[in-house]
Amino acid sequence: MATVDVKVKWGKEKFDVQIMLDEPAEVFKAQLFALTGVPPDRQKITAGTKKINDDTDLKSLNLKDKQMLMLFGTADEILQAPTEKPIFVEDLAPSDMAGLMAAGVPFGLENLGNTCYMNSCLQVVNNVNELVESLSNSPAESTQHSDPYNGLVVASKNLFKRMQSATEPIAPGNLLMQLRLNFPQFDERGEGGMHMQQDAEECLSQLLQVYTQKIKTAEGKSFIEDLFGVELDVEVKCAEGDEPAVTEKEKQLKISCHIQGPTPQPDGSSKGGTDFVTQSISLGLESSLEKNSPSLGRTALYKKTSKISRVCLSLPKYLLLHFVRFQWRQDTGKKAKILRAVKFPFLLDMRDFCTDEYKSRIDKWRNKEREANDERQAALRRRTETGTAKDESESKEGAKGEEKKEETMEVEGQEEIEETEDLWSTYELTGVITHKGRTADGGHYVAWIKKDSGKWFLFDDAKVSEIEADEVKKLYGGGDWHMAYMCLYKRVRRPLDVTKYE
Amino acid sequence: MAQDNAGGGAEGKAKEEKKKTKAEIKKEEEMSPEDIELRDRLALLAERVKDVDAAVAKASLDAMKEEIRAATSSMTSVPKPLKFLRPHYQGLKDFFSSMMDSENKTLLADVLSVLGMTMAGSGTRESLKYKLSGAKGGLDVWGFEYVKNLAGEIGLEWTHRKTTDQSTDDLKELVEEIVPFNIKHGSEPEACDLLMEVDLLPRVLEHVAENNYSRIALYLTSCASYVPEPEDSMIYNVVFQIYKKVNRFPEALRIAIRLNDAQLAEEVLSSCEDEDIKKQLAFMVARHGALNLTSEDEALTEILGNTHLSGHFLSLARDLDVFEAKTPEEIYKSHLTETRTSMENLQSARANLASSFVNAFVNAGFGNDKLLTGDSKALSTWIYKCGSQDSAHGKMSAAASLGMILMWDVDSGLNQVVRLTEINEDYIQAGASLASGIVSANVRSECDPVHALLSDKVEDKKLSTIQRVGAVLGLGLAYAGTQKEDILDLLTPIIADPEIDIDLFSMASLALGFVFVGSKKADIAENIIQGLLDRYSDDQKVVKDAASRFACLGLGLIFLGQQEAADVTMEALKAVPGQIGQYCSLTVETCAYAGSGNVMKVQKMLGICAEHLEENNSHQAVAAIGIALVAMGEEMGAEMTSRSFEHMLQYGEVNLRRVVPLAVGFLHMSNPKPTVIDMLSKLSHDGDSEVAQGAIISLGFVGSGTNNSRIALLLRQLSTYYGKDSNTLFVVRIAQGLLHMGKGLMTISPQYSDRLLTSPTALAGILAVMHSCMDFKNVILGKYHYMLYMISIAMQPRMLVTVDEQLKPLPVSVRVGQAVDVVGQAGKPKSITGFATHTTPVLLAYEQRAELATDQYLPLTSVLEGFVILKENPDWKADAEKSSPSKKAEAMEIHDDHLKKMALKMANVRPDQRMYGK
Repeated sequence: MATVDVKVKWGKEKFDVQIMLDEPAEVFKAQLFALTGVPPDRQKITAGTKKINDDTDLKSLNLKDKQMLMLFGTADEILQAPTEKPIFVEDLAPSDMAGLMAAGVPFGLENLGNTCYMNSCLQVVNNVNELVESLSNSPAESTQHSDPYNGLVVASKNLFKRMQSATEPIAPGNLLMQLRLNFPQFDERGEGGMHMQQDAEECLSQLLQVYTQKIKTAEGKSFIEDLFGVELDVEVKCAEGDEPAVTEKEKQLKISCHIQGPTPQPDGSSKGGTDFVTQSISLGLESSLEKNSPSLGRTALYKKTSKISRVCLSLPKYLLLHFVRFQWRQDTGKKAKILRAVKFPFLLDMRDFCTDEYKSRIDKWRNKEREANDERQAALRRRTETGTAKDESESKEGAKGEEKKEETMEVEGQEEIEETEDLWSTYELTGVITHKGRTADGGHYVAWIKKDSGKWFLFDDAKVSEIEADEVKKLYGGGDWHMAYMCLYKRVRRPLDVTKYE
Repeated sequence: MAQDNAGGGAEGKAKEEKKKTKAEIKKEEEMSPEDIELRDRLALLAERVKDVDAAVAKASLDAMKEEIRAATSSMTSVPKPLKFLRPHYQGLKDFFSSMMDSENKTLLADVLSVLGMTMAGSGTRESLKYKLSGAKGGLDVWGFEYVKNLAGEIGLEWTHRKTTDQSTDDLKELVEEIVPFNIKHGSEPEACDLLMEVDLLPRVLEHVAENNYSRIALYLTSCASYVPEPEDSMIYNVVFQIYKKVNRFPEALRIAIRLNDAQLAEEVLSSCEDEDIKKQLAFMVARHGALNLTSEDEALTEILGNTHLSGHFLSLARDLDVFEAKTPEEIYKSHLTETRTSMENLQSARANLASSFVNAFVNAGFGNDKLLTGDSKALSTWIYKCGSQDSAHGKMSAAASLGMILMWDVDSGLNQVVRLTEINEDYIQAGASLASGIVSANVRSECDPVHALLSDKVEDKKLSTIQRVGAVLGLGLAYAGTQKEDILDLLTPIIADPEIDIDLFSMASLALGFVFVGSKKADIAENIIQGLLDRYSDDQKVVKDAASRFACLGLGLIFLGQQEAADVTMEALKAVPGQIGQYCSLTVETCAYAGSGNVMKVQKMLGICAEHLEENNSHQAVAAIGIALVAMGEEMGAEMTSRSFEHMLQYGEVNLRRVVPLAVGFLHMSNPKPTVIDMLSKLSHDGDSEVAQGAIISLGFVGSGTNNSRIALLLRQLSTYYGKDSNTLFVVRIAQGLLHMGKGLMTISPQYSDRLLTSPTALAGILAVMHSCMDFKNVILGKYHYMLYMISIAMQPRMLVTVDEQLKPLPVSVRVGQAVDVVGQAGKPKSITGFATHTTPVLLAYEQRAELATDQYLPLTSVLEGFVILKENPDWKADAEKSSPSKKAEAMEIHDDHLKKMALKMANVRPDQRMYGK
């Protein structure tokens, strides 16, 4: 019987095999099976450029002595297609995709050349749902050319509409054009014809100003003043003479937070500076001015104290805080930036800034709520601990609480105060416009916004990314990182005193 | 070029005249008494030369000669004797012409020749004229400056006589004198210049010796880039002869490879008798990839087949501690980018496919990864994750990625790849075929398994097109550069059949282009052209089929670097109408002149690019890439090309702007120059998405296999920026994969061996990818993404491995640093700068060079790259090594410097970026 000795290479291993040329190839495969454990039907054998199949005549291969053959195949389990088919984004219908997109990261606005100030403002405005809604209901049409502000309102309306169903970053070109048309200061160009960086606060103020005029409530009142307006009782008192104080009313769309004091020392002492936003607000509400005193007959120093009054508008639904970070400096002739850190809380209680009368109303409601809360807890505890007589929270109650304890909890109708939204003096942080850089004419603005989903997003022009809420705490200022320039707070129902700084 | 000294002479003359305008007396007053005496003596001698008494004249001539000789020590100013003889020059000349032939006349001729060096006007070549009528020999009497001047004049005279058709014999004789003089005195470049000037370069061989061959050869090699065809090959031939004469076989082989001359290479290999050197030669042949040398010797065959590559690459990986497999996520580092998508629970086939590519590139050649090589279930699950209903073709690339991970390890790699064929699905079968090609890229096995495994599939007409495409490309990759006739027989029926699908036809053409790269095979070319005609003759349709460009490229590759040899084909291509014809003929033309630096071709291509075409402009892309292709291989030309691309960016139409980033990337493969990164980074944010995509993938090419941290950062930022654009994100991912190719141990630069040589197979692979990138939408982002694997034949480890004569790894300390151009420099200049000392195996970046830091061993080749065999130095003494602490200190210092720079770089990072880094 004709035989030939060959070498068979299988992976890194080599075997010496004697092939019987007269036998069918299956015999050879069986030989290899014995050596390697690779089942014959999974063996692939190559001899030179030929493949040995079951029907190959081994003689036709002209195998030489010591020729190297290669065997491919494994004894491992057979490779199979997975039974579970994965679901692919690509296979989903566009409508499914839109739903998925909505849950994801929203889209940003493109920078059209130093327009980050405007983009940040627009993102903040876009987060005020009531405003966006009223804009979309606004009857303003692009055909009304006579009214200069009309174009701006139409542009805003269209833009916010597009932002709701965006699938890619949007270029707010039309709005920018209208803004510059109405407020030529934003059309200012620097060297080389590039548009210059502008103050975001100014931009937002102007926008709100326009909306104030153009959007009216059903009763014909300004919608914006309803949303943002803070009504102040302003008491002007002469600090030097003994003059009766004059009380006036003032309306503001934002609250200015003044920053003062030296940079905090490393040991934490700040020597009277504004470390917390509440201090800043107080500072902004109290100012001194010089005016002619009728009693003294000369210019005298007057102290101006403002308190938020409950009359008319009371606390608004949204609170816009403006950190007065840019200051004109006489000595350098430039707008300088105050870098001092001012902490602001996620939840801000505005009770302390209200007029006394307003305060007491708020307190009454709060006490009521607190009791209701305590009672709920007590009831809960009773149920779990089978009625413990001692109630710690009760002992903590103030005098007012004692008084009301006599009344039964069930009779809520008898409460002297009825809950209205304006009693909610607690505000939750929902948006921050930050500025990075040392000068007012430069640097970069971005918006940090808490969406309704409760997630925080960073809107850096067209770039939008989800961030942890803790990132917002880094925006207090004091360094070269982004620092808060404007904060938007939204009123929430929190009956308890919650202003906390972290 | 030897310096022309006539300028110096003219200057001296001008000075003299200036002085003359002033009062002579004043001048006399300024002169020292010695000078006055010398002047008077020379004046007297000049008079006596004209003496009727021959003896007197001779004596005075000798005296004059002595005076001049004694003073020609320095040439910073005109030597005094020459200055003082100036007034007599004309008189002596007149006298000379009136003289009868005599001994004195020759003597005077010599003197006049020397005087003529400074006194005759430039271009008069008087010095040479008198030298020719003077005595033979005696050059060294007059010093080096004189010889230099003379050489310059010979050059001028030579061209003059050539144009006027006069005899040049006497010049030749003089050259014969000057050359040995130059070589003897260490100015080999001047000697070579002179010989090149008078077309006698081969004569340099007579003067080559052990002590000067390297300088001569180095100078000539670098000259060759700057002379027109065919002179450059003549120069290389001379260099080849030089190396052969001194028995430097590896160096001779380098030149043979540079000449692309398989016969010469064969000659080197066969004439070398030293077994060890032979092995070294085999390593070099294997690196090149397209020389088909065979050997009877088993050990040599193994080296020629590159079978050592896998093992040494893995030991390099172990040595550098990068053996552990990396996941795509480790490359993306998405925890560092700000965006977090909310769609993590959903699979994106596109994103998975990108991960497949990244995984393949990153773990290429390592044989293990974390997606595919685990258990068999993971393998099939992952492959199925890469193809959705509409993009089932993704599975092909996913399957093929297994091949890249197992690259170079034919023995066990193929066995794993063959397992894929157990799943009976077209795309996976096709991927498996492609994978077996990738596994065998650049490695030749004696058993030819790929051929045996794939031939049925190529021939089986019942199989689906995609299966056959996979098989065809697999063959192309596995046998790239081998010129195997078997493959031709296998693929020709496909090309010749007009009924075959355009995809299969094109890929088969490309595969043939790979296998027969630079072979000038006219029959293949004819077949491809016929195939194109069959498909395109009836209508004027533009290149709509994305695949047909690969048929054109296949045709071009056959003539890669063959210059005029492509002319016939170019002519034939005129028959192919429309866009495809233009595309094809430009592809062939640019391929043929690849690396030639041919200015005419560059200008032609620039002209084509300058046309502003609204439509039918796909050929302009080829022209733009072609400019880079023609200019590559020579630094200066590449630099100039980069600049002209800037113009194209500014003034070109958008279709050209799309190619520019690719062309720039092409010129800087695996060479992350900061300026290039800047340019590409700018373009990566371009408004036109294809410009941006081109720039992004070029960032990948430029940084491929380098792990360049700057590019890594840029790409990470881009991945955030394009987070919503799945197409561009895909390209960003690919670029990230390329950047970290082989975990930073690889290069895809086709140039190697001190950037003298270009591997045609590597170039072919890169060109295939380049042509794919010209049409992102339909190729890379369409269904031909598997074309990215064509880069596998360009992938090489960028390592230096030192082995002993038994090919066992031999760790020695080497200095690695920036290469310095030492051509034509006097003495023994350092060839690297800013070096650090390492122990082999070690990585070499582009433009880096290594040299042994120990005298204990001698390398068998002068270029330390890839595999180098070391031999014990017989002269080495153990204690000699210790006596060089100063050297070590130097290295330390520079290393320190490097650290300082790094620290400086760190400090320059803006604070906000640092915060992002957290």
